[in-house]
Amino acid sequence: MSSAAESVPPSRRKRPQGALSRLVSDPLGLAGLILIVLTVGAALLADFAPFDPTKLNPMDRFMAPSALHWLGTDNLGRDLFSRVLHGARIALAISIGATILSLAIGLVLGIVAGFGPRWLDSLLLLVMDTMNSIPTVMLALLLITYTGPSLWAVVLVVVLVNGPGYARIARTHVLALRSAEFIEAERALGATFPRIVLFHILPNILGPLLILAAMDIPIVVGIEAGLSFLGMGVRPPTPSWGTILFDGFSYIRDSIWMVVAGGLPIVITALGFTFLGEALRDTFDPKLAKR
Amino acid sequence: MFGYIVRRATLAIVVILTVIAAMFVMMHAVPGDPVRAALGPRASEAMVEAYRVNLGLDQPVWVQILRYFGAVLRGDLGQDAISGTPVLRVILSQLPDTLYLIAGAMLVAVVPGIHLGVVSATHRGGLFDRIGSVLSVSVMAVPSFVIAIYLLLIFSIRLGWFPAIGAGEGLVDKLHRLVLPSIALGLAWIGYLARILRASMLEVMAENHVRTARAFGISQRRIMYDYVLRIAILPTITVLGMGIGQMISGAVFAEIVFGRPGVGKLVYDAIANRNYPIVTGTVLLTTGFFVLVSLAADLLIAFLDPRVRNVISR
Amino acid sequence: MTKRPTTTGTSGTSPTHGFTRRGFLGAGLTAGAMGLSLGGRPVLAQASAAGGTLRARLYADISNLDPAYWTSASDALVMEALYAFSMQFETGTGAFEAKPLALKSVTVRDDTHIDFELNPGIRYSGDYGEMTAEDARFSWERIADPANDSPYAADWAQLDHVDVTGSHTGTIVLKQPFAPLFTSTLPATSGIILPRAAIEAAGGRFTTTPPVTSGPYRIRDWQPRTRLVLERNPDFTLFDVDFEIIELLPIEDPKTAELGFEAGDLDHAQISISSIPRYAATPPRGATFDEFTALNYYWMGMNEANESLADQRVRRAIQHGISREAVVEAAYLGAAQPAAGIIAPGLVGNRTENSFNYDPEAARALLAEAGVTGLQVSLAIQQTAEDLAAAQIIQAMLADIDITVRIDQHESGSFWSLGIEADGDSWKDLQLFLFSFAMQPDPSWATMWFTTDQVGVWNWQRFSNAEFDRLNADAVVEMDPAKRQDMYVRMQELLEDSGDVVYLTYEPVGTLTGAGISAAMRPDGWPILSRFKRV
Repeated sequence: MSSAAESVPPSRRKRPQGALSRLVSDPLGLAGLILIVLTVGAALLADFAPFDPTKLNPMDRFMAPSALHWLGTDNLGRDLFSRVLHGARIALAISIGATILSLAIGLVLGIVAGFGPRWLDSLLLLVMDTMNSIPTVMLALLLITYTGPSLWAVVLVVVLVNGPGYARIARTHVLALRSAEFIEAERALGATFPRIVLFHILPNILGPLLILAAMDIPIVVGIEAGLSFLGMGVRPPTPSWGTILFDGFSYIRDSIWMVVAGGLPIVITALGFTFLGEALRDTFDPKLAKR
Repeated sequence: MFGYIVRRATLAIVVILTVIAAMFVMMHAVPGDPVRAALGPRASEAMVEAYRVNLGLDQPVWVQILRYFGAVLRGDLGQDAISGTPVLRVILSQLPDTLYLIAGAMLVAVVPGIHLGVVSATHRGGLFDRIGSVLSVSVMAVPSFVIAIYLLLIFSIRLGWFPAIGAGEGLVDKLHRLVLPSIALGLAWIGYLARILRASMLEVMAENHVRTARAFGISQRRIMYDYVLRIAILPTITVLGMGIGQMISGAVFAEIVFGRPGVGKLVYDAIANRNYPIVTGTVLLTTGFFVLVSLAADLLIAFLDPRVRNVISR
Repeated sequence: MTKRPTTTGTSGTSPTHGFTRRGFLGAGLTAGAMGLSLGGRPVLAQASAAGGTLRARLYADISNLDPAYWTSASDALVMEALYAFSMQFETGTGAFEAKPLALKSVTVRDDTHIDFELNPGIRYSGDYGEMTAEDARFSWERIADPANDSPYAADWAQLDHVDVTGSHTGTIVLKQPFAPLFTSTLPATSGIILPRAAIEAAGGRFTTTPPVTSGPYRIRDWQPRTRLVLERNPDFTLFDVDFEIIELLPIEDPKTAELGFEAGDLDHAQISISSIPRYAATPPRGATFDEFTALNYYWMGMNEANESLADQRVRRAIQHGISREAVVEAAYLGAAQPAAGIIAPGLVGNRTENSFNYDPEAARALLAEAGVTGLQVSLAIQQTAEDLAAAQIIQAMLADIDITVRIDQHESGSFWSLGIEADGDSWKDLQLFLFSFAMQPDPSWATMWFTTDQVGVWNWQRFSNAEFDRLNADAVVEMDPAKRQDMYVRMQELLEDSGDVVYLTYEPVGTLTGAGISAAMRPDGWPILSRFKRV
């Protein structure tokens, strides 16, 4: 995926008219939007969930779906449907928040590497290469044993895993743009460095990066759920899809509904953002789509 | 060119050294150590202290790092902090099952992945291409451990078609137990393969000789499979090679869910009980492998592609 | 002891008379041992004809098989197959009964002099010859010798020396009477006898490759973390062995073991506690489910040195704020009963009445009296499904008395260091923690961790009480069971009175055994694999 985006973006793209309608006319985009609306809707409506997601009721444990408990109950008798709704908040907050943060950090690093002196560039590349060559799970496990499991630790892991990728792409773009004619011209006219970055570099690289970020969101959802599955994500009793899945895996012989309730939303969200990312790319960045 | 190779190889070594140093610093910042687990609850404090000294844990981190590098250069990866077994022996005992798993996953991925890629490239922009790309991104999007759990639930627990745990013994048994974890780990790679292959094939197809071949009236099918694929598969293989390093991540989950022994489970457990020598040994081997493969891939591409060769001499 | 079937065909040494399994097994084994020691008969042909493989779960891979330095329950389990224990607990009994095994007889001459005689003809592997009294002296004194720094020196704490009176006879001379000698020293790993020559050849100690064995099985092949294969030792004659091969699979997660058993990969496995009710109701086809009360005790500790918990009224409020029934129910899905102490039923010192029970009103009153509002505490747990469930119930109940609990999950590496002073400063921040200890069938094993000496080591409560310390020391050398009973009950009272603990439960043990196999289990659910039989 990253290799696709490393081609030089078109300068000064015009925004196509009726972006949303073009997106919706693409069946993939429509499907993605629907799935995302489902997830976002779940997160927004979590306050109206039928039950308190942390309310324990051990006598009602392992119930199958019913009119009362739409997705059944877990090992402590908590309503799974309510937990899934609240879990959507955690998943979205972490994935969007962490993605924005890794984008921001990646951008800054990429621009610094692209504009900075050679040694700094090399150093940053080395750090990024190093990060990339440690398997994600090991990096995450070590980090979290150090920080202790928490929401912020998950965000940190995401930044470390995804940030270098964005930085690399930003750097490639900056290197290519640096010598582009219009930048040279601006510079000759006496434009300051921040001005060049803000008005010329950023607008040119933000588009492809945003699309990539949208497509990376499933990875982030996966990281959050995966860490929670290993007992290293958000703290109990906060409902997270990964925790529900972990509990479900522990009690898989007692009830299959916890696994179903924990896994399906992960699948839905992952597919939603991937479809949307694909459609966005096809619609707004045909250059990327060509490859 | 030679300068490039030297530069690239130096970088590879520096990356490995940095990874190991970073590992040491991180592990020693983390609370807890393997001594309690190694000695049991009834060990006296004097014993605990002696054991720490024996493991070198009382030394400053940089001394430990230098010692470790020295030992590695002599081919010594140290001993398991808990059982005293040589680290290399422990890792080698776990490696085969993980390699089978990764090979199984590759096998699951290769055949459908290649066909999906070829079909997409052949029908570029058409209905098959669309369907192919939706399929590719779908399997790539869903985390492998979710797939693993669902496979376990459906095919092991509900239907009972496949054993739920372990790596098995004997060829048939081992293969039988490989099916579900391989699918879980390999599914996403169908998507990766198809995508990379499609892009790479489109590039080859744009080249002159392909157009010439077409002009000579050679059938489309033959051109695609016999000619284009043969060239286009090269970069795909290098990407696959690099992917193996990251497959360790997926293997951790597959091995936990399916109760398999393996390197992924080994390193997961080793981190949990602070078995430092095992952690560093595994990380050294996997990152070493990853770095070497990507080095080989870069060099291969540099040799094959004159365009890159020019860029390199920046 | 549910669903314990009456079975036949333990060893073929005696015809069946419709004995209960318990009586039969005891009689059969004693007869067998006597027959062998008297006549020196060769091993019975029937055992080798039986053949076959027993595949069982190991809780974790082996890490050290040296009797002086072993570390985990798995080690002990395997050692029981590799070495001829001095004494061994009966299986299939309701109460613990140790019988001599390598020893032919043990005679208590007086409280400090114990005469023993070894069975003749116990052969070591390799060229180490026959087991002698001299070996016993070496092995026992090796563990007791402070210079060797064995973690198990306490098992021989009162050993003065061993007198060797003949090739197979000797006397254990104690400094003071020592009650655990027959419960957790001789019938356990600390009673194992090994030849000096072998230990010295190995450099004084060994880990996973024993230089010598003497038991019913020996190691054929060990693949770390994958499997340990034991094969029958043809030289072993102390009792008959049914299975030619024992294959042990290290599976840490009991839930995984359940899946493995149901898939037919295991013939015997301990299952998770929360699965006990399900398997009790419907065991897998053909399999036998058995339930035992284990010795392991599970409790919630409170660090009285922590600022937030320093006021005893606050700790008392927490004791009153937690319904032990609810915690045990949630964590173990109804498989366990609340405990009133740390010494399991069936042992001397078991306590039946808890002093401070669930009473949220009293809890709130105590907090008000202490002037504490909006208290926030952390609860340290391990990453198990049971701990997680128990912690969430505790969290909910304490929220009810206006105490906010933050659950901290730890991996084993950091959890076991939390309260240990030598491992860093984390003990200062430690507040509440869920703890489970395994033990040997002697009450001294339960109380020894709560003394003043242990503060900052395993006494994470930092509980310190002079009367407790004195009783703990006295009870070990007290030989009258009735007096010991009172002493241990009093100690558990003192511990609870301090406000430092909430006793939760004794962890029941559930096991599954495949069709055609009769498991040999101690009363605490500990399998003696070498005594498993085909039915």
